[in-house]
Amino acid sequence: MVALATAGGKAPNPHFFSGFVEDPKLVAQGLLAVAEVARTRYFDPGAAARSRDPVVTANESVLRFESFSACNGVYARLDIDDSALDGKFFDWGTTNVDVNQPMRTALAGIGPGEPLRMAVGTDELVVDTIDESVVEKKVPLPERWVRGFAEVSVVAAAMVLVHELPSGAARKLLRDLPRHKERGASWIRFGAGGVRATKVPAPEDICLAGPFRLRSAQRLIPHVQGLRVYAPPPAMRLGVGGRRGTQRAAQASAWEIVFDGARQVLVMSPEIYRGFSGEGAVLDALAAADGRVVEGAALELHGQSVVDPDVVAAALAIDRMAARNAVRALGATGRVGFDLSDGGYFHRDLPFDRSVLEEMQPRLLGARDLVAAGAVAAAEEDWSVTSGTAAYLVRLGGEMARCTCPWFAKHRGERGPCKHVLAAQLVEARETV
Amino acid sequence: MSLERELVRRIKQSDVGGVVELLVTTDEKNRRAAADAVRQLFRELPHAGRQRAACLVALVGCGTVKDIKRLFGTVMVSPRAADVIAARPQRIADGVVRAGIEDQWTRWLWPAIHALVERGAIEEPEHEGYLIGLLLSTTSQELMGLEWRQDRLEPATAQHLADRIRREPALVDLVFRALLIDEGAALWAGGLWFEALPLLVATGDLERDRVLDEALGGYLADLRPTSARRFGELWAALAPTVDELRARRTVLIKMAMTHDPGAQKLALAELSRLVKTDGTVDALDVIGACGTPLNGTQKNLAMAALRLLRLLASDYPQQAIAAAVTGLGHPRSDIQEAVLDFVATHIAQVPDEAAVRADLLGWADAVAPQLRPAIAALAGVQAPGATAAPPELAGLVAAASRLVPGPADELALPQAVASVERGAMPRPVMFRPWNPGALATKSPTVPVANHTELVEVLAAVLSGSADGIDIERALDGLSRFADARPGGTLSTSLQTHFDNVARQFGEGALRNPLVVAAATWVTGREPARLPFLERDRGRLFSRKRRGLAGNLVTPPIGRDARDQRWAQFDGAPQAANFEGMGLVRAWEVAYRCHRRQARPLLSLPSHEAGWIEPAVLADRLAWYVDAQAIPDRFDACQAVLRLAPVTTPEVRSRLRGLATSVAHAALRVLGESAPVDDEGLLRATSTELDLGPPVGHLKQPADPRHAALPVVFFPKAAVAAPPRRDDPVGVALAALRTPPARLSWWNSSSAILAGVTRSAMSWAATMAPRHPDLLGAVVAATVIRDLDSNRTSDVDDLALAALLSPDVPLGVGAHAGLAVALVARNDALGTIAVDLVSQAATDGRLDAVLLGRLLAQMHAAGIIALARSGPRIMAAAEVSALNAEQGRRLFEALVDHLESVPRDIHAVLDAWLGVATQIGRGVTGNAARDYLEDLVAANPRSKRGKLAASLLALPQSWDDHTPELLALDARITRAGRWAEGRSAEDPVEFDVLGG
Repeated sequence: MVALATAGGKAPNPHFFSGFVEDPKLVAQGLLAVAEVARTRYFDPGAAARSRDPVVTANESVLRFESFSACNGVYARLDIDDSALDGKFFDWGTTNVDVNQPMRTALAGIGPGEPLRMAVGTDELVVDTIDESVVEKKVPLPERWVRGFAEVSVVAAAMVLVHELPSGAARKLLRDLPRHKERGASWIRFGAGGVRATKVPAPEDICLAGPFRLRSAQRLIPHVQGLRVYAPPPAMRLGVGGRRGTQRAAQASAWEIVFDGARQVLVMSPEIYRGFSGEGAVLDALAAADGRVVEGAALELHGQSVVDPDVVAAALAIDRMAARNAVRALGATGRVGFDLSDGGYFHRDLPFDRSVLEEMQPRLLGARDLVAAGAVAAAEEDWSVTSGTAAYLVRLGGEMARCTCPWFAKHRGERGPCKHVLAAQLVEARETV
Repeated sequence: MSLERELVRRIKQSDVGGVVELLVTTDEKNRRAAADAVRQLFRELPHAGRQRAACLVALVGCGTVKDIKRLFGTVMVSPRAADVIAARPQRIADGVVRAGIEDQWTRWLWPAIHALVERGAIEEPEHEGYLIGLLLSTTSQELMGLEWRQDRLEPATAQHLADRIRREPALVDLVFRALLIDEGAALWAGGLWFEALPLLVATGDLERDRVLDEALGGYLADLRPTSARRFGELWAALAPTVDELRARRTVLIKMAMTHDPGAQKLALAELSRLVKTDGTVDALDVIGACGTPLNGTQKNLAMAALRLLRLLASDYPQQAIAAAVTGLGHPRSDIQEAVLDFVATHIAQVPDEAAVRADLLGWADAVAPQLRPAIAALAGVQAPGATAAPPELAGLVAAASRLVPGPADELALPQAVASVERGAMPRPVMFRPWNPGALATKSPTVPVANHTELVEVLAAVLSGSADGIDIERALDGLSRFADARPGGTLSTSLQTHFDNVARQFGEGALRNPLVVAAATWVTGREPARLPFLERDRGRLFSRKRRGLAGNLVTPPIGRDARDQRWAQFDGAPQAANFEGMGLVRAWEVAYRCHRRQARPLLSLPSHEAGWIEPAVLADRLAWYVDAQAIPDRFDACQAVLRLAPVTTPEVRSRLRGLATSVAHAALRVLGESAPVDDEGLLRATSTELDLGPPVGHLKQPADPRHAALPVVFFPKAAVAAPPRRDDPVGVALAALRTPPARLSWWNSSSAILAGVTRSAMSWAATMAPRHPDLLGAVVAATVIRDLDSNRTSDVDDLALAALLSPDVPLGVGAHAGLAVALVARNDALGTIAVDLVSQAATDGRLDAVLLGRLLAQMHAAGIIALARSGPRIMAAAEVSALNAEQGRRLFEALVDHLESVPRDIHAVLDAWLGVATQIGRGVTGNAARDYLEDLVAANPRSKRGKLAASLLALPQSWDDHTPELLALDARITRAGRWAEGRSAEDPVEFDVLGG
């Protein structure tokens, strides 16, 4: 567990935001949905999880509540725009609070026409309903969540909008979600006959592993105005093992449910037994990042709803591409999240520096150890990497870097590079420089 | 007497008070000194009983916190243990209390901790474990006043709990808080408390209003539905009056708006009762609340909400209609129909009709096809017509004429054109799977090029992430590079994989031929001989065999209750299978790695799906002749099994010139009558697979029409007599009665593929590409045993998915597999079935009439229920007018062959009506019409009667032939694609030794 206290902010005001919400029922159900994700272990639905701790971020004009499922395979975020708020943003910052039974009871008991006031602050989340006032205090942030934030940021940033459904079709899709757990990947086909699941994907179909994992959104059906679906662009939809021309490999997708003045985003891992924290999508960005530029970019974060790379570039006197890469690297450390709706990063102020986040990436640490130990050697066109008593051959060319180690053989590049590939890349980059 | 001995004595006397007295009057050093003896005694005592209760107190008094955390109490500790805890040093006491609250296995300490709270020694803990401990304390002898009966505590009853509350009224606040915890231990322990509360209300010991409020409050606490349901039982037990309802109407409205079906059900029922009594009090809120159940999926709740809306609609028609309209997105057409009826009844009363119409239009695409005209009428717009103009017949005829003659001849284009010109649907597309045009669509297989690539693909095989082609490339690579051992890095890489295999599956897995082949390549050591080659061959077929033979021999079937449905059909459950043959081939490769004999495998598929082009095989055979090498027998058999029987005179001539037994076998596959001595090779040449009668005792259908139908559940290879046991191909083919799914990989000590059925099935699916129908038959045979199970099977998924390619013909076996998948409970399999029906209907391979007949036949045999088939066929039919027509024909054929009226016939009729309305086509067959008329006559007001009447009312003839035109268009498209593809005169190049 990481001792995440409330972070960020520039003023001593105890609250980032305080005020009423325009649609109390919607916000209450949205918050409960985020909390439901946090207390669900989708890979083993029978087992309840203890974690119910959304991370709350106040940006310039958006309140965001984020959580991960206990299995780390589902990321949920409720964004409430200022148009749906009747209050004031005093500051920006991030905190992590529990949603215990009293809070759940208070939120679930909001009836038609009843008000809901929220105050998100340095140490607490306060919810006032017509019947009661509930205060939830900050709690430690699970380390796994921090890794998950980083992974989801990288994964989401690579997605594009692929489908948009109107209210009726969106409600129907959410209503018809299966109840049963399915082991393999499922795909959603948006065709002339409507939306339907398929098991054998065409290139345009969208992976939705374990559709039942979207069911937390069912409590929001009466409020749904539409649904946006995001997925990797066609060029990134690869076959199993990263190969083209074979059956498509499962990939993450994001489902953004749109309400009046609010959105609920659910990012689903490629398979139900895969948590985001182990996906390895951040490793390339972390390995390749220039630490000084990234830290410089971090200093330009001030609670923005959308972090503009141009502004970062101007402030650091670097070119736009370098600034984009720096912001991307910040995403790989969880310090900015990616808002698919805006198509940009938002500031999420986690109180860690890059080195702490990197320490949470064992493959990257292992790769650095291998490099430091001189375990990487050029072998004709390949690289030989000695790891313990074993040695592996790494090929960096072609569509995808390859290795003869068990990790690569098992995942075939679908869960990020192995430490041997990372080590070879580090050495190759060093030699190129 | 020492403390230790005295403690033991008092424990054995079950003297709790004495134990407490001893421990509080001594110091910590003495207590710790006595701990070992108490621990030992605790281990020896029975799990329940008075002595154990005394021993628990003693352990709390002298053990470490670690000791206490390890214990599972089985009985609650005496509250008197509080004295013992208080006597311990502060650090230990704090640790014991924390463990007793937070550690789920230590909640037996609750009575002592509660006593500490009561006496003010500690504050009431905030952790919910304290509340859970309270619920669990029903097993406390002292707190509950329970009696020992023969050294066992009597179980607590609700009356015991009520008495306890009477003794300690303040406890009730804690109880209500505890009952809101939806965690496992709290759930099962809470049940008795729910029973106790009404007893307290009945005697006036608990305020009735409070309990009523708490009962409804439980539904508003965002609990899981299973947890919240108990509050509904409490509410029902109190039988609230109308006045009590009235006082809680706001809460009931909130409950109706939760997403918990139980809360909605209770709220709708009580609100309905209230509205009937009180009229329209809070009507607008009640109407608003009805929207949530109508947005759900449960039929009863949606209907209850509609009934409630009816009570209020006369006063608030606009609002009631706005709430009701959301029910048009309900998955059931009868709910949608009820909503439309409701709207039709009240629309005339609304002040703003335009708003209603706009609302309705938003749902026009969501409702069942048969309701779209109704929704369009209500919305005041025209019903949507066909979305795209069908292709014109003249253009199709012209296009077809350009494609004949050509490689698409076997698509029977002229006959299809003639059918469509008559307004009839063309017959389903049937073709040989090795049709040159179909083969041209397959991607070529590339042999591994070097050692590094070989190690990578071997690593994938050993890790279980390989598919069938990967496994074949690995075997071929080993064979190609058999004469050159891998270098140091690659060799150590592979060793890591061998270690992983041993760690994951046990040392026995290293004897699997796939592992042995890879290991032999590295070490060059002679592989161990295969068990069945050196031992009694008869034992290969022994039921008790495991090891490699276990891979070759499927286990007996029908040994447990789950298999009964299967057992009645299969009388010969034992046989070998294709995977077994593959493993024998791996052993052949291993042996040649030992001998350093490098050569390309004959059996490496030249194309995906397992095919080998004759020209490629001729090249490989020529290499063998030139090298004066003899192909391995099983490799040769497999190559012939994979041979595509299509080639050119030049290739035939080359094969004739080679004059080897394998070349002769290849020529037989190509239609020539060359002599082949080897029985295995001879069997491998089969191009026709006789899906013969079932082995066993299938109930003969009473309807003589069914006798003409092929029975396909258990396809049997075209072997007149049982094959010789040393004839691998014959064994494998005959074994297809027992599908690969029956493989017992997980029991086999040598199974590298343990638990990796995706790899195994993918491999098996490449082994007999001339017989794709086997894949469907495998599904039929396996799924039929688990129709009502939600278990998923990679085997079935992969087998069915392999049929999706438009270039795989669908025979009877495939249709049988499709039929069982359509009614399987498993959603994943059902989804693939929808995929396949949809794809095959679109590309013309679906024989809708056959599929309907098979469904009827299986139903008549008592094997399947039909309910699940309806929505799935409908989902596939929604794709296009052609698919809808195929769905309509399927349903008509199904009903035509039904021998009785299934209980779930309404699901079929509902879907049938949906697809029929979609294309405006009714029932044409006399037998089907008779069947429907009988349903109407039996009960015209029943659901099935109404649906049948609706179907009969649809037109029996039509002028719009869009589906037929689309079918012809699909066939022409296929023919064109094949014609454009590579022909047999243009074979792929093949590099015999790679590189």
